[in-house]
Amino acid sequence: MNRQKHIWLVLFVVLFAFTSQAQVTFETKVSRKKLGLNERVRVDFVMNADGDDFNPPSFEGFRVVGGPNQSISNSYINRKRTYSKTYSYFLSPLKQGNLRIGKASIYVSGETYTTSSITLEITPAVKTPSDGLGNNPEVIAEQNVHLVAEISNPTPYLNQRLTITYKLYVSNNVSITSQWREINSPRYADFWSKNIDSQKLNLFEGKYQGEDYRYVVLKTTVLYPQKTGPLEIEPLTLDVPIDVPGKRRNIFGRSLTTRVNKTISAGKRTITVKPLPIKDRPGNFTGAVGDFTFSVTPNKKVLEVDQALELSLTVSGKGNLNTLSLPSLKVPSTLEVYEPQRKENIRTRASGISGSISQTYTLVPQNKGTYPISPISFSFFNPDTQTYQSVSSEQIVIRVTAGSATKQDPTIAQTQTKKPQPLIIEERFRYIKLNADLSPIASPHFFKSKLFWGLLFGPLGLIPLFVLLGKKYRSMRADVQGLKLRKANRMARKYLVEARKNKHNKAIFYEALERSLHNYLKARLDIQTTQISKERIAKLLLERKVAAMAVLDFEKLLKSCELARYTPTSDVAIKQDYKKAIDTISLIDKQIQ
Amino acid sequence: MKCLVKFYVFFILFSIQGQAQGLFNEAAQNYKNEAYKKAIEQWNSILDNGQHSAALYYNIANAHYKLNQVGPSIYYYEKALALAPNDAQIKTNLTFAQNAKVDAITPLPKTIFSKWYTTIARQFTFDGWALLAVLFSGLFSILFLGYYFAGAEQKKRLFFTTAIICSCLFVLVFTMASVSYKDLQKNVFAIVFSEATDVKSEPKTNSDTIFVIHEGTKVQLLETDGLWTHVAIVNGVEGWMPSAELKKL
Repeated sequence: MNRQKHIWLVLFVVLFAFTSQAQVTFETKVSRKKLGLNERVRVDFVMNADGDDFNPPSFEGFRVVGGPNQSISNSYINRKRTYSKTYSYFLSPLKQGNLRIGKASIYVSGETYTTSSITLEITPAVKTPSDGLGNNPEVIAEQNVHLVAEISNPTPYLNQRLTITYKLYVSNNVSITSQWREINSPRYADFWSKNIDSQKLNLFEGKYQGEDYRYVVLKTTVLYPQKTGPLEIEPLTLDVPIDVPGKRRNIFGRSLTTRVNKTISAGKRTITVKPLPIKDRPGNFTGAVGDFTFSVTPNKKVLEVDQALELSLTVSGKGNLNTLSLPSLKVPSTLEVYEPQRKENIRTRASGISGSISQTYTLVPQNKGTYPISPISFSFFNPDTQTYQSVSSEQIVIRVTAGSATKQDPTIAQTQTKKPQPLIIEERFRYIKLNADLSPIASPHFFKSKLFWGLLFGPLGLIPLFVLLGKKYRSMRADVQGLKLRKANRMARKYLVEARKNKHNKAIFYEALERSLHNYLKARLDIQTTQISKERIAKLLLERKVAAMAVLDFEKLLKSCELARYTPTSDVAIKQDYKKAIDTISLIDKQIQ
Repeated sequence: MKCLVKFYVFFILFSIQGQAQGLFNEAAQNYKNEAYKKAIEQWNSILDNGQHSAALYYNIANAHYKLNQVGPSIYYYEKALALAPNDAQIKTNLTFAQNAKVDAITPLPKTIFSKWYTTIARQFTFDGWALLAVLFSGLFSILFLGYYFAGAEQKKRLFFTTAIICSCLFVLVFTMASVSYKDLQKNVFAIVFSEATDVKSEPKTNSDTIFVIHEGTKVQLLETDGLWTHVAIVNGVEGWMPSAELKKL
C-alpha cells in the first residue's frame, strides 16, 4: 500500500515537471471558415515563442491582399509572462470550392514547428461582401475602378472585322487624378490588328453592373482574325493611382484621401472564330470578307500594235482589303502582259477598313486582231447576309487596228524595208465565202470502199487478159498466107453453093462456077485475078505437081464455062459440069504441094 | 412507176439543194448586215439538214469570231480546215482566232521527217490520196502493156522506166492514203469550249490539278472514263478533264 503511494507521487512529480517546462505552440487561426468568393479572410499564424525563419504556406487558390503583418504581445499576469507572436495575412479566394491553407513552419531554439493545414469553404460571390476589416482603402479602390474590354462580336467569321474597346469605369466614390501606366499591352497573335488610340479622353456617364459610373474609352482595336477556332486575347493591364477618400477629415472638414496604386486588368477573353461556310462557296473565292464592288477598266479600247494599254482591276468597299487578293487577269496569249502595279487607298477606322485597292496591268498587243477579254468575276463573303456574292465585270473587246496578224521575224522585216516595196498588203481578217459548194455530211469514204478496190486492182487484173489477147492477135497476123487461102477457099465454096442453087439458070450457074474456080486458084496458087490465063494456070499447076489429067479436066471446065455463056446447054450437062468441078477441085486439093 | 419515184427523189434532192443554197445566201446577207447570231442560226440549220462544206464551216467560224466567241470560232475553222487543208483564207482567219485565245502552248519540236510528212500528207485528204492511187494503178497498167507490146528497143525502155516510176508512186500514194486514214481514225481532236478548266491527274474531282486549260485550245483525245476524257495537248502534257467541256472535231 505504502509502496503504491510512493509510485503515484513520483509519477505526479514527473508529469508536473514536464508541463511546467516551456511549452511551444504554433497554430493557424482563420477569421472565418466559410466565405464568399468576393469576400476576404484573415489568416493568423500564432506562436507563443519568439521563433524566427517563418515560412508561410503557398496560399494556393488565394490572392494575398494584405500582409504579412507581424505583431508581438507580451503580458505579465500574476507574475506570469504570456508571449505571443503573430503573422497575419489577408487573403482573397480566387475560386469556389474547398481551398486548403497549407502548413507554415517556424524555427524555435533549434527545433522546427509546423502548423496543421486548414480547409476553407468558398461559396459563390455574396451580394454585400463584408471584409470585416473596416475600411481598407485598397479594397475600396478595387471595388470602385474597373477595366472592361468590350468585344463587338465574340463569334466572328474568318476575316470578319471585330473591335475591342477598352473602357475604364470609375465610380463616383473614388477619383483618378494622375496618369496611369500601361503595364502589359496585349499582342494579338492570330489577328491582323490596328490600334486606334483615342486622341482625347472624354468622360462619359454610364452604368456598370447597374450602378452609375463614369468611364473613359482608353483605346479601340480593330481586329481581323486570320485563323479559325478559339483564339485568346491577352489582357490589358494598367497600373492606376486611385484616390480613395477616407473617413478622417482634416481641420477644414475635407476628407483626407489616400492614394492607392492599383493594378487592374481586363481579363483574358476568348474569341471563337467561325470558318467561312463551305456550302455555295464559289470556285474563284480568294478570302475576301466584307461588302465590295469590282470593276475592270481599260484606258483605251482601240489601239495599234506595240502601243500600250492599261487595264485596272479595282475592288472597293468595306472589308479585309488589306489581306484579300485580287482575281488574276486572263488575257489572250498574244497580248504581252507586264507585272501589275498595286495601288492601295485604305483607311482604317473603328468601323473597319474601307477604301479601294487596284491592280493596273500594262498590256502590249503583238498582233493585229480583236481580243476579247472575258469577264472577270470577283467573289466575296458578306458576313451581314452570311452569303457569298459574286461581281462580274463586263466583257471588254480590244481592237488592235494596224500591224500584222502573225508574228513577223524582225530580220525579214529589215530586209523588206531595204527593198523598195511598192505595195504592202497587211494581213487582214478575211470575209466569208459566198460559194456554198455543199455536200452531204454522211458521204461514204472512197478509200477502202468496194469501188476503190475495184478501180485499184481492175487495171492490174486486166494486164494478163490484154497480154493473152495480144498474143492471139499477133499469131493471127503472123499467118497471112493461111488467111488468104482460107479466104479464097471460102469464096470458092460460096460460089459453088451459089452455082448449085442456080442449076436451072444456065447463065448464073456458069458465072458462079467460074468465079468459084477462079477464087479457088487464087487461094491455092497465090495469084491475082489479072494473072489468070489458061496457059499460066496449067503451068503453075503442073509445077505444083498436080497430075496432068486433073489439069486437063480443070482447063476443060474453064473452057466449058466460057462456052456455056454463048451456047445452049442441057440440064444434064450442067449437072455433069457441077460434079466435075467438085471432083476436080478435090483432086487438085489432094495433089497440090 | 419506178421512173416516177426516181424522178420524185431527184426532184426532192434538188429542191433541198436549192433551199440550202438560198439559206446560205440569206445567212451571208445577215453576216454582211452584222446580224451574226441570225447568220449562225441559219448556217447551222444547213448543217442540221445533213449538208456541209468548208465554206459553210468557215463562215460559221467567222461569225463566231465577230461575236468574240473564241472557242466556237476555232472549232469551226478546224472543221473547215479538215475539209480543205490548204485553204489560205481559212488559215489566215484561224490565226486571228488563235491570237485571241488565252493559252499559248509551244508544241513539242518535230523531227524533220515528221515535218515533211505533215506537209506532204496535208496536200490531200485520204480520199484524195486514194483517188491518186487508183490513177497510178491505171497508169501503171497502161504503161506496162505499152512496154509489153512496144516494138522498138527505145520505146520499150521508155515504157519500162515510166512504168517502174509509176509503180513506185503508186506504192507511195497508197501508203499515204492508208497512213492518213489511220491518222484520222487514231488522232481525234477536240476544242475546249469552257472558259477555263482544271486538267486533273486522275479522272476524279478531288485529284491534283496539273494545269489549267482555256477556251479554244486544241487537245488530242486519248481515252474516256465515264464523264472524264484523257487528253494530251501539243506540248505533250496529258491529263483528265470533264468530257462536257470539250467538243469533238
